Amino acid sequence: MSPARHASIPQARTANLVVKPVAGEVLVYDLERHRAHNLTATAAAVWRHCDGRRTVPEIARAVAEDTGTSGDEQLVATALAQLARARLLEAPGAWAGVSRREALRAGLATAAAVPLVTTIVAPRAAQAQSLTCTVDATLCTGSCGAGNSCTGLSEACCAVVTGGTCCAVVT
Amino acid sequence: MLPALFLARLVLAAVLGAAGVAKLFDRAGTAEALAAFGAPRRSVTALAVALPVVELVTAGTLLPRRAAWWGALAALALLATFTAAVGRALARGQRHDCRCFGQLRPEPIGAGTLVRNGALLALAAFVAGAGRADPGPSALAWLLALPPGERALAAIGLLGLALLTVVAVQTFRLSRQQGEILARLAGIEDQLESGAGRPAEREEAAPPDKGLPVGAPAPEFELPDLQGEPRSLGKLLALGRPVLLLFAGPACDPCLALVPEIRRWAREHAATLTIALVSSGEAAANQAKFAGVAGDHVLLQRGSEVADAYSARWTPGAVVVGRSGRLASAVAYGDAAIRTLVAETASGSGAAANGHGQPGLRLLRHGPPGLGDPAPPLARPGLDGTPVDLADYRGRDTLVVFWQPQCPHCQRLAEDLRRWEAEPPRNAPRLLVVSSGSIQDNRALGFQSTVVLDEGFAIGKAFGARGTPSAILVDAEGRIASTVAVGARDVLALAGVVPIIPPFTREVR
Repeated sequence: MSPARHASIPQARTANLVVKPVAGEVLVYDLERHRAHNLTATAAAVWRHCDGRRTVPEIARAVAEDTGTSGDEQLVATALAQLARARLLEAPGAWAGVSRREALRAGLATAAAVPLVTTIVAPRAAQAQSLTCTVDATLCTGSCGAGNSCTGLSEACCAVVTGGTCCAVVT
Repeated sequence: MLPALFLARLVLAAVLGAAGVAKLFDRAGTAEALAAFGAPRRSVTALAVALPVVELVTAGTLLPRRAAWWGALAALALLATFTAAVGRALARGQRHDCRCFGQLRPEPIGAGTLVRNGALLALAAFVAGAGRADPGPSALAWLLALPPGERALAAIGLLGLALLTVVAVQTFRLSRQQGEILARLAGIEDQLESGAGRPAEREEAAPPDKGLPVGAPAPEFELPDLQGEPRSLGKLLALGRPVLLLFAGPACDPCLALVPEIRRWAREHAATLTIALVSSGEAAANQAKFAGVAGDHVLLQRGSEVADAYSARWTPGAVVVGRSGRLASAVAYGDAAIRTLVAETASGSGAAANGHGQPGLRLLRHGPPGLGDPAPPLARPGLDGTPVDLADYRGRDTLVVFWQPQCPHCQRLAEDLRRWEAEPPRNAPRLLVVSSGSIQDNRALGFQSTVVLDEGFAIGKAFGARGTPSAILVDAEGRIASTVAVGARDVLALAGVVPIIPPFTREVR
């Protein structure tokens, strides 16, 4: 495959990514950036067919077969742009430039306005549980008793140790 | 023939004329399209003017009889150039805007563009080929045949028509711009309403759980393979090697990308490691994606019950079960971590090499003890003053639990532990509670197991515990046999309370 052809064919990134299907959508967690992205069924289908061999029209046809939609190529381009911005494609720079403006020009106001890929975060309490601390860390102040609990620790309490306070977290 | 030639010239002139006028009114878009087609950036501005002028001149040349054949040749050259440019872009997979008719019809190039250009090309070739001697009557003859006064009126009428066309094009352009602005506003409103300006918050987006503590009994399961044959963890362990459970799915692209490596691992490490791929979904989809990937150890869950029991809710994820049936690793997520886990396990440097693990997993040379290291000294009086020494507990696994009576998370776990003491699971370890607080508070817990006091958390610190409730398993030889479990779920897992997964059988048709 020539470099020019390679550059014009989208390929999904697979390294250091994990996925979880949730109610018709797909969550993708980026282990490098520690960010989770939610892919609609359409975006997930586009991402799945970015195998480095299919062109955009071929992806559109494959998505149409998967989702039973018309498989519009501009919609695929919009999904590719959003996937690229979420760093879920190899060489994302080649695809991130397909803008909402182009989709709007083509009259696809819905495609341009509706996010197909959204970045999501876990609720604050769960995030706090993922904090790490060493034995002598002083992230926790006070004890867990008498209403002085460790903020954000839903599974364990800090323990007062000789020379300081240590913090227990669920890792 | 002559009427056909005349008609073909009119069609070509109309199309080229419309394209030329539309491009002149959309010079920026035309320049953008020319650049996308590969025209030099420096010249696209000039070309955006020159091209529509050439199109208009060509259209005009097609009308009078004398110049029509030359006009057809020019149209042929123009259309051949357009068709070649579109074909080359499509071959490269490019789908940029054509701007063939400016703002009148902005659309990405595609097969339809080629078909349209091909049809026009055929018309131009027809006129050029068949109309050299006589391309048909002049389209302007009727105008020239009029008396001077009427000719002037007709010219004014044509000029008015042209102006009306310009007004119509501009109106169309303005309406499109208005539509674009409205769509943008709608998009912004949608984003504001849905809070899409900042990342949405969802429970299931939590970072991947590392799973149950190393040293906890691995949850037993029985799942059908792709042929419908039942396979259990017990049967896999009976092969005498550590078992790598690889959680995957047929719709998981990162999993599919790992398939060639999984095949290689299964082949190269067959003597030291059993690999089982735990998937879900339709058997046919799994057959298509994973058949033979891990020998005949491709197992299908009903849903995600096995992955849930191992707290491996993202794919690809992998965990190693040691030959003793205890977990020998945390869940590794993603291709890089799984490669490392496979390499460590296959080389014997991981915790799975023997029953409870090896010192190889110890990460802190001067910190708390690692897997396989001797447990730190633990000698304290019990609540009744009797001396208690962990060394006296040898001969059976012991779970050392770190506790604080005032800790609400400990209080929530207390009832579960009392039930556990009343009905311990098979092969459950003994319990030794290391707690703070007063004798009275600890007696009030009602534990049957021995409780010793550890003011200042010195013992907990020596074992690497960082809070309460937490626990660590010490084997019958007095060696560390688990990582430190933190939180109720993991403490109970080390105590042998693991999820019971109902067997899943599947009929093969």
